[in-house]
Amino acid sequence: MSSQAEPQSAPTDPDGTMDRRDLHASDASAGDGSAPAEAAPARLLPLYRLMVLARALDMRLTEEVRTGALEAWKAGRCEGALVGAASALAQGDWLFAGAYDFAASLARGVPLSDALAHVFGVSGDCTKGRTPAGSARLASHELALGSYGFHNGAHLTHAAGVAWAAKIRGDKAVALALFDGDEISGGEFHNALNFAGVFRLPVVFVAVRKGDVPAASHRGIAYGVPTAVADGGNVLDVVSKVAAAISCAREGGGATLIEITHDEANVDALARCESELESRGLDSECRAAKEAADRDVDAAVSRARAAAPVPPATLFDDVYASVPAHLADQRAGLRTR
Amino acid sequence: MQMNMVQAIGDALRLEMARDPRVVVLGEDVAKVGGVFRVTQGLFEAFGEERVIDTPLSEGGIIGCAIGMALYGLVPVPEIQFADFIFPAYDQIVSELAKYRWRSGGEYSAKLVIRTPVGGGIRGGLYHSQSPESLFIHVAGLKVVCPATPEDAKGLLLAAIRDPDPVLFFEPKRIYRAAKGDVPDGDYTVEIGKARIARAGDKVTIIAWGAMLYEALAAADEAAKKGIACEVIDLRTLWPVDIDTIVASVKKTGRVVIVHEAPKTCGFGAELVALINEKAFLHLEAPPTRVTGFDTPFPYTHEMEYLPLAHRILPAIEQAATY
Repeated sequence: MSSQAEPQSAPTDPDGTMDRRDLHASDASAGDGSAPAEAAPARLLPLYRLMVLARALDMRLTEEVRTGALEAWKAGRCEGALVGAASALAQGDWLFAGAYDFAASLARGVPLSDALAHVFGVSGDCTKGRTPAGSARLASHELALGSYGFHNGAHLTHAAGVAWAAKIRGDKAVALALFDGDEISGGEFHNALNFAGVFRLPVVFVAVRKGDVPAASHRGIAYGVPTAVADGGNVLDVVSKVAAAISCAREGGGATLIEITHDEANVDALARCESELESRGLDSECRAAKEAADRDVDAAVSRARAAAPVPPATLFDDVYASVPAHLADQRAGLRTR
Repeated sequence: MQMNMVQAIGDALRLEMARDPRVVVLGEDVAKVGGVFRVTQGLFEAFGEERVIDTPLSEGGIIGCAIGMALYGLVPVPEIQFADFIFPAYDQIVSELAKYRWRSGGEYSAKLVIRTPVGGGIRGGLYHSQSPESLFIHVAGLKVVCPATPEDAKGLLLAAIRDPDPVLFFEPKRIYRAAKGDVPDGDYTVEIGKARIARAGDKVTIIAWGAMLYEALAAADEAAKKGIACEVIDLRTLWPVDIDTIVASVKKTGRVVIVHEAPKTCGFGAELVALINEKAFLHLEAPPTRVTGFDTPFPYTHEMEYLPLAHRILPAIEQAATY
């Protein structure tokens, strides 16, 4: 019964090439406009430090699981993709990261202590122990970091909606949603790309692809959303491509779908970044970064392990804005084991 | 001013969109056509294409995007064209909308109002007649409202849009135009969570909502001729339900008949019976009963046999009165 909404100034594609978004380092990427291979340490070092921190967190928490101190932990080792994408965002932009995208949350500015409290589900956890241990389901209004539910891609339309709201208000904010290969197949991906394409929304969808999952890069064309591919083994390639897509969105160019690929032979963006820095004689900076990361992670883990548990009565808070009578009754019936 | 329910709802939307620039209406055919029931007529002309939006036919996309708009700080009022179409959006509503505040530790509220026509009696058949309220009442974090009068429709919608929590606003389509009444001009709200005594009585309590309120009142009229004075409660808000008003009435009558269009099993009537038993058992003189739609899909030809109309409610009243 309803009619498909008209896309606002739908892009034309006489040569059949519009599915590829032409994103190069010259498009508003951070810094000096040099090609990635020649990038100045000033660009690389902050990214390196974040990747090192994420890696240190990953290794330490894997150990915590092994010793039984932590119930579960999973991180994807895609630090280049996650740090790169998150680092391309500007202050007022929004990030919707996935359940294990700690590296992205840290790059966004989530304090390590908050992240660890969340991982261990203890006092200081912004989600009050409500989400599974070991996952990055942090949310922060201050950092414009959305909340993640479960593995169905539902956050993709949330990102589209945020972008839409910004566009309606005449704001320049752009939304970015990270998702993985499994979330390409479901209806949520379709809904998000469809709305983003029809309404030319300032949203960037970033598929972090690793292993044998469906490719995203050839799907954008169906929705009028141009795509681009970035190399997950090269953090600067990720930063520049994502930044260019964000810039394009901010200027009214609509949505982009970026697929970050991970080559079996060359997945470790951290190692590549490190050898790049070392080749410029920055070994001591690298060492210092690693020592600082180990120290900070160690301190944060100790704090989290010593923190108080979250009181069970908090279960009834935040279901609604205020606790309704029927929940107050149920809370009165709470018994601890 | 005399209005029907369509006009009252339209009045509420117009008023709130003028008052609050954050309010955005979106859905299928809501803008240029003004809605298939003409509820949103005139809004597109008054507020423009940025705030009154025709969407693709994609309920999951409509609600998912509306959630994003709400996170950013808009107040979306998405429409689902018929409640029967809400199921593609059910995952977004149950898994995301209802849980967003809780799972984000209060960092965000995904506050929006989903407007949708419910109920049968319009020759709609299986997919234009359902009343899915219990599927939403059962999900923590949602509020569910169903007005039966134009005055309540306007006041409750204004309250719903201003409420900090997500609200499902069910509009009984059978009485969109048939329900007429005095609607106050200008701004007012009807409190969410408060039922209304539509008819006072002391022999049998009838609890109803939506279009079936009028069937309950008609049955109460017939019962009165037989000397049975019924108290008819219009719930208005389904969740959080006004259990205090229900209990006060049950304490007076000891006999309860609950009427709803939705199928019997695990319908909201079942929850009401459970609550009445918990809170007023010793006051009961008869088992609480439910007069409802049958546990079948909603029929086309036999619609009037399916619906719990006055001719089915009256025997239940008599049975309760003489138990």
